[in-house]
Amino acid sequence: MTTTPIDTDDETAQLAPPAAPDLEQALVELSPSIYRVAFSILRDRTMAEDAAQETLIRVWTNIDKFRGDAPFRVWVLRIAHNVSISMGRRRRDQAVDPHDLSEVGSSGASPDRTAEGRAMVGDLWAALDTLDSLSRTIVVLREVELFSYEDIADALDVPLATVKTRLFRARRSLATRLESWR
Amino acid sequence: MSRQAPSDRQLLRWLDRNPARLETHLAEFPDDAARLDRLTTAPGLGERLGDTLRPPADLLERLAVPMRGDTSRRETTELIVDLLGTAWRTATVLFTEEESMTTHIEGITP
Repeated sequence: MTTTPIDTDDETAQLAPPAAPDLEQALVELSPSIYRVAFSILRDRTMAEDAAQETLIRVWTNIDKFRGDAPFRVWVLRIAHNVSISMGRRRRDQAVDPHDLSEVGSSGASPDRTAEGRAMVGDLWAALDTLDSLSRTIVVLREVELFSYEDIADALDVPLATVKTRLFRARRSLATRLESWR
Repeated sequence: MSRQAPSDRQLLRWLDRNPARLETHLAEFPDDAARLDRLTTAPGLGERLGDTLRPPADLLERLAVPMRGDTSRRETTELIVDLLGTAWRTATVLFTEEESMTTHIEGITP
């Protein structure tokens, strides 16, 4: 699959902050992306929701600080990343038991998954667990959110070459798992 | 600038065994990233990840309601900031005028 970076002219990549009352709608639309970034870092649904909530409040109360030097979506997910990292550090003592990861696919959030689907999700989680949190976030931003390399580097404040190297390594690692599903 | 481009195999070897070396190389030759992008493409990975990280169905309701609640908090905060700002501006004007008058008086005092 060839991923297509998001079009920077797309309305979700706007360089100006949404004017109230559109801000709330913009944040509602970005909420799933915020959640996925938080979940990729925290690996816990409840904590990911807390991080998403905290992110929304921070964006809401700091919208005046958005200067438009990056697309709004990038700015928001940068905040989500920072909030999640901070939350992970604060709750390090309550780290998720790796065995809980197998419950991710069978949580109340996705009751429609088949047994095979749950197995694949659990398998992918096991593969994701072998990656560091930065690599997990990079692969999510690229493969799911379809961010460009440049926007990922901007959102996570890491060099462009680091983004690419981490992404390619993560793909190689995860692809091994994907192969076993075929 | 001419150079001997590393083979695909070499790039993958760096990726697997020496990522720091690869990172340095990509910083200097970003075009080679396109080759690695192609070499490491994992069909279906995005879909699988999206499924794995799928938010709960009622996420928006759970997040949006407190956000609306925060609207009033934000408006209250803005009001307080406005009031404090007014007080600050008043104090600034008063002290500036007082200082100006003192300077003026000192200026005419022998």
